Amino acid sequence: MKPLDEPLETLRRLLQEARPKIDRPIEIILIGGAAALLSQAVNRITEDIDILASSKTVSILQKAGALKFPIQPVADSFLCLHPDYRMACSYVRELSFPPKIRVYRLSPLDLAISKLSRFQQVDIEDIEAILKKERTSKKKFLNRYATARAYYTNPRDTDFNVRLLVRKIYGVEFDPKTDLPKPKAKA
Amino acid sequence: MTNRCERAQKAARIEPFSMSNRSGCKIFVIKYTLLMEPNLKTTLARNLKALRLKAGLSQSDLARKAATPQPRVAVMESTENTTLPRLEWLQRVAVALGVSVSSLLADEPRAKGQLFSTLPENADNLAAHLKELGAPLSGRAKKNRSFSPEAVVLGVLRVVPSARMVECVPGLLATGAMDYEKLFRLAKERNLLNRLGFVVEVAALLAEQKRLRGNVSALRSLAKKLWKEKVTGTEDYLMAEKPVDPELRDRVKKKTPELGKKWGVYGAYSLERFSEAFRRAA
Repeated sequence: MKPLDEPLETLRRLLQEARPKIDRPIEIILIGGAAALLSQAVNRITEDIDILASSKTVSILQKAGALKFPIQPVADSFLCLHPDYRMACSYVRELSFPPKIRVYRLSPLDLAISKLSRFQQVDIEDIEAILKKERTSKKKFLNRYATARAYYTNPRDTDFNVRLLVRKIYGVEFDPKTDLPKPKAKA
Repeated sequence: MTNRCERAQKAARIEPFSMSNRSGCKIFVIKYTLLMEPNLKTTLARNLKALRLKAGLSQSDLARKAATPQPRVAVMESTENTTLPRLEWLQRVAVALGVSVSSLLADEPRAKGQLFSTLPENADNLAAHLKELGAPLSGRAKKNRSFSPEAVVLGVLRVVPSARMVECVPGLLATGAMDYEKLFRLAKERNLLNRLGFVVEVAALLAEQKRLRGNVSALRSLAKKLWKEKVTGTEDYLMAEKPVDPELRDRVKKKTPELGKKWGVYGAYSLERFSEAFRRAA
């Protein structure tokens, strides 16, 4: 097995130490840099591990003493995410301790979409790297984004960023007002 | 006819060859081989390399800017080069270097020794050095040659392999294990005064937050010195590739912190991410 990178190794150690103190099964979804690193699209990341977890899971982790640096819980309501993001997640065997702790990572496409709202220098680089590595077609990207934006609080800002990205990565003009596909209902 | 051709060949370096037409008549065709003066070729190769290094560009950077393949640049920089560049190629390269075509062919005395100090260029090498200096990076890194911390900082600012590496630079400067004089000299040499000025000012802010008083004053005086030498009238982007799309350029400018705008260095960086990288540094 390939050795884990430093921050992921810390996460594995923290979860391993917390395992005896956890009395019910929990699920954690890795997002941001950690998920990008596991998807092998991005080579270098800073040491932050953002996780998506329910409030119940967060309190269990807190009680077990696992919620310390570099782990940071994030609420999914603040992210631009497809409503079915859980179904597209991949199981991370190296970090899981079944049956109590199961760790998943966000799918690369959802990860790229979740980075659209902040759109800083690192995000632009990451989205480009992910879409190129996964060879995601424009149609697939826009279909996923159209549904995700329907559940997001500030889609106007992300629309502008998507327009710039489509032009940069796929080299075609895209108008969110007319060219955006219809969002698909939750499965 | 043959004698005339031979005479012409001797006089004007014209190479004749014969071919037959459909009716079998031999026709003589004169093929002109434009031969460049050997001295001019060497001058071009020497000037091209010197001007490229002066502009702080690698062969790939210049190739990208001038829309030409990198091997073509390498061939033209070689003194053993036998090919003649087209005038439009020379013009494209001159524009990319910000010089005139005549300066590419100007016969100036050869510079003695190496023109500039060597800076690391390879992304994996830079990542390995940054990690060694305590930058919070993970992932692929391979050290293939040793460089001083100052050269590593300037190398990152010159090549900009990734935004994450740039984010680590102010944190490294704030800890103060650098020779500021050397940093200034290297930045001046490579025309990176604005970029260094921006990260030095961010580093001063970070050092102030951490109450590292000695470092704050040293960084502020370095920033002042850089400000005096600041290159004016340039639009510098602290990004792996300058955004071509005007709307993306505007977006990046909008997201640039005030300090970046002050130095004329643009990039969608946030001060929070700089301080986060500093907080997490070893």
